[in-house]
Amino acid sequence: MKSAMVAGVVFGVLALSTSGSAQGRTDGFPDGGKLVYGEYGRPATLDPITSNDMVGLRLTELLFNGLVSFSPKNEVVSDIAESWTVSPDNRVYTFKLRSDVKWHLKANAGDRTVGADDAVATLDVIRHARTLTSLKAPYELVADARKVDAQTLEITLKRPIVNALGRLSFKLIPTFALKNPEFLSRDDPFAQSPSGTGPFQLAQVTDEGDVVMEANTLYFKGRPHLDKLVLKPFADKNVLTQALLFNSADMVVEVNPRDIAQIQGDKRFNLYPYNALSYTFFGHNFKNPHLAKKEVRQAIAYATNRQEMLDSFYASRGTLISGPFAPGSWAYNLDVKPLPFNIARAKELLAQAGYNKTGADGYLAAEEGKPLQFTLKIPIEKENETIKRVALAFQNYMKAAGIKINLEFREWQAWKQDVFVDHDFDIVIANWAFDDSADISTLFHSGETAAWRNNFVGYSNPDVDGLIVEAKTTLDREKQRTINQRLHQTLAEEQPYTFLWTLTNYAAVHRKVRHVELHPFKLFTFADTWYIPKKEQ
Amino acid sequence: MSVYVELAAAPTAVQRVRAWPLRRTVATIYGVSVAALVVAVYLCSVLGLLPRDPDAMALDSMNALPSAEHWMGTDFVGRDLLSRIMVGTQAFFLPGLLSVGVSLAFGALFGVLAGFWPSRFGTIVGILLQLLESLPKLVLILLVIALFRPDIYLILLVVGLTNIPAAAELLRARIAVLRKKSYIEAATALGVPTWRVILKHVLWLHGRGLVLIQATIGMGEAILIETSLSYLGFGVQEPKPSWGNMVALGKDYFFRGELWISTAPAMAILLTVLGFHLLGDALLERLEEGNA
Amino acid sequence: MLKRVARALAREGMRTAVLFLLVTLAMFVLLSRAPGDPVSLYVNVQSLSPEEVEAVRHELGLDRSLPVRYGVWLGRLAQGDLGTSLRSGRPVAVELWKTGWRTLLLTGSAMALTLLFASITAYLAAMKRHPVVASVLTAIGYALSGLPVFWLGYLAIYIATTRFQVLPLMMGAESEGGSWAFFLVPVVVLGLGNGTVSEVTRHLRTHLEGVLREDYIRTARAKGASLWRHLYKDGFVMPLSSLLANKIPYVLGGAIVVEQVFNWPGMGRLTWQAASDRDYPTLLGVTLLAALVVRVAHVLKEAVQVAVNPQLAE
Repeated sequence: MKSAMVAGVVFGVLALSTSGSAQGRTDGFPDGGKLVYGEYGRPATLDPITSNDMVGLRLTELLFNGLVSFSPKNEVVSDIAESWTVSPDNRVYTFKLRSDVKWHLKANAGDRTVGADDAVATLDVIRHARTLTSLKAPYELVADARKVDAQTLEITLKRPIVNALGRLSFKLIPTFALKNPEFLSRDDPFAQSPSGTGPFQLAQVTDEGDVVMEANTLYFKGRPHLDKLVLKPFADKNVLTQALLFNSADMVVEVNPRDIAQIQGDKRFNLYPYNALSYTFFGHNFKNPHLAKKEVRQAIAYATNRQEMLDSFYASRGTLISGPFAPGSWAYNLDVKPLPFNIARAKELLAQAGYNKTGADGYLAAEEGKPLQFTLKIPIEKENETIKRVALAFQNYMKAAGIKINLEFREWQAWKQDVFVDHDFDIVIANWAFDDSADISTLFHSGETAAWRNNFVGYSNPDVDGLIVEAKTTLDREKQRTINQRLHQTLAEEQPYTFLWTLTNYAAVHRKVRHVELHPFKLFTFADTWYIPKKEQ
Repeated sequence: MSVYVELAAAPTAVQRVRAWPLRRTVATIYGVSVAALVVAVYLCSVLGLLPRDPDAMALDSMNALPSAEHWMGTDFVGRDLLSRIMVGTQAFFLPGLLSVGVSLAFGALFGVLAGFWPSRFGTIVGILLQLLESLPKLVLILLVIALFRPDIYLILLVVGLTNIPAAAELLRARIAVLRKKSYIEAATALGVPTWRVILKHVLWLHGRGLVLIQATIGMGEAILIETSLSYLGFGVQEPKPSWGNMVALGKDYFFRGELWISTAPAMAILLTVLGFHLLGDALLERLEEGNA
Repeated sequence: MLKRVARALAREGMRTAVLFLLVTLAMFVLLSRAPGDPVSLYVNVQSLSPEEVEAVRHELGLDRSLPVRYGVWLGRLAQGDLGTSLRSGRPVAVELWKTGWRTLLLTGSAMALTLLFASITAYLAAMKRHPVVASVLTAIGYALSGLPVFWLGYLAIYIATTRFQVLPLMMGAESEGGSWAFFLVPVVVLGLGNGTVSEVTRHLRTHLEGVLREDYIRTARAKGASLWRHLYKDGFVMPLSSLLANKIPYVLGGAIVVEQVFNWPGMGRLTWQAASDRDYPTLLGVTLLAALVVRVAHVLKEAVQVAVNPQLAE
């Protein structure tokens, strides 16, 4: 993956070569058929700006397009913008838009095509004070967006960053279809009944909450093969799997780890693995004087048999990680291996740190009469029986090492308050999900320890601070990679977290659907190329 | 008729029990045994007299069927089910008693107030009871959970409070019947002080049957509520066992045919609640028979 | 007579209004004290500065004081506006209606089933004509009352999928293979599993037996007249109406789980989601609706009982 050159003007012309008129595709595959996919949970809203949950975000891939999109390998490719240029200082991006992109019929736009106006208007809506959206943060780096001519748009960034193009992938909406064209609030009917430019358009939302989408015959890359796509929300994970097995759904976006073996054996379905850029970890609060000692944290890592947990609870479908990046990330340092399971070493380290007396209850003594103990705070999210197993197993491993773990379950919002605001915890189990930038600055920089900031463990190391700042400001991708690898090495040794694993997620799709390609976390980016053979429709 | 003449003509306790229909005898025996078993198991679990360690995990024998080593099999991390079911009584026993206690204590208070002095307290008590009755139990419980922590004592306290109207009404109706029969007037005319009438004659003689009934029905309800909440994830939390959270942990294996993990605690719930219901109903029948 | 009814209605109306005020106020206060707020529905709080978070809270009106917010909500309510859901942006009234009628359908049918089962059992037991059948049914009733509904639901699905090779979910218009017959499964699960069957049966039976002993019934029997006409008022309608009013909360509680398992888009799911999102308007709407249902049931019960037995209207 070569990085863009800094000197000189660069042309980035990576048009996807799907030939085909707005009517039909010329790839020879048949049109028709319906695909019902099941999700656990329901989307709150259906538009790409107010959406703040994964189900909604996946849905927007089907209904909308952005200036740029991504290939299956997560490289930036053109979407509505057919080409672009970058200024020498890497701050001004000029996009040339296609002239054949039409809005969905619902938008009542007539013959009007998408132009620079619409892109600018969409950005204005995102940045409007009255629009409440999680996009404000990533798009605050846009200093200005203006139309150059009908199909040309210029975006100026406040400061140059690496991979800016990937960040400018916001989806375009027809602002003229909003209740108020300047901002989007949730009570705008557009939020529940949006229109866009995507391969599928919203037909209706049924009373049961099913979102029915139909093929957009005016789609600029050619009409998608599938006639209909239906999102079916479920409230129970086990029933969701049953629905797949009993033909009430053709696809499940994320299969329960337990059920993977059964579905793999079922000839009707294909399993597609995808690795979200996320990982699970135990976070240690540096405010706790015992956890502030590196030996204690390292001992915890040595005493936790992570491989056994991964094997028993997740059927080994995942990868152990050794540092603060997901293994699929370009920043991951493959030379750093995860700490092995070694109880003896753990005990050694604890003894080195001064814990060498064992109390009558079998636990190491911390202060007079009290055992070395920590409270593990676990958020109660929807259903997560596997996290409970992990917590219980962890409790067991720590017991063998002489550390007492008390489990405490807290309601989700209350947990966030404890962890992010009050910093009232010893150890937590949590998950980080990343975008491609591998930016861990907010997690470990000593300046990010205030309320609601991501460095809730309170980690502070001036060397790490320096490396983080360097990684963030450099524009050289290779240099960034080297710095990140050093960060990886340092943090693997420091263990502010006990790094656990990245799970491999699986989507199950009925084999009647062919040519299925999934984007690693957005999933439906290429759904317009999927098809169902005539006799299976 | 005077009180004392009534009492003299009554049959002895043994004679009365002998006269019961078979169904009621069976029901009472079963119910009493269940109640006794619950108390026994509770005490055993508190004292630690368990077949195995309820928290000992065995990752190599998860979801095992009953065997010589684990008489009821193991759960999803290999812990002994029988021991956990026994410890599960701790989840509802004391909170249930708390719930019943609260509803009875306040119910008696309000019932007596409204029954003895309807003109003075009738309306106020009526409004208070109506307010308690119309509080949406469910939403209240959800909010208590969010506001504090998933604390089963707090929740069953709330349940107890919402049950006050039922207990109060039962008592008040009883007192009204007694007044109709001039029972109370007679006692007062005989010179018995009011507080004694309340305590001895009303509450003890006539109320104790109601207490027993409320206690058994209340316990049954407490079990169902505690297990339902724990099932939903808002009652007793891991690693403490509750029959409810045990069913929840087992449900993820249900459709694969591993029914045992959910069914064992569900049967415990069934048999126990059944016992309390049967006992309560048998007592209620007996009481109503005595009044016919 | 009409004046008396009007006065009674007015009195009940006043009581209802006071009740609603107190209940919603209690809910409001509890909500405001709970940790967390709806901001996370909209933005990732961690990626914003404190000022930006404050801006969001201001936009949502969360930075105003409690009495002001309650007052505003009351004011809107007086105009018939329940506000809009913080999650979906749709009017709360619409959300409540869409989900409420489904829950009503489910719980109503379930309660009807409970009553049917209980009535038959109670009748047979009281009339003492088929003692074996009565005993068996009573025993079944007791067994059912102890069954936890959350286990029963899963069992029902398991049996359906393994024995009958069918998944009994009401899938809606977009699925083939669903049928109205599937609706019966959650109704049966909730109707028989809500824990009140035995109590209702016993209550009815006791009442029926009591009524049967009354002189006017014996006279009717001696005359050879049909018992039903005389029986139903005191024997069925009276106890049923008071029972119904009391048992609704239990059935609603069971409905939450049944809705989850059978994917029935009712109010249970809505309330659950709203509680964890801290969706104030929706939660207050649900509270109001719940209080309303209980109140209406109570008033209806009184009305029915007075209509059946005018002596009660003292």
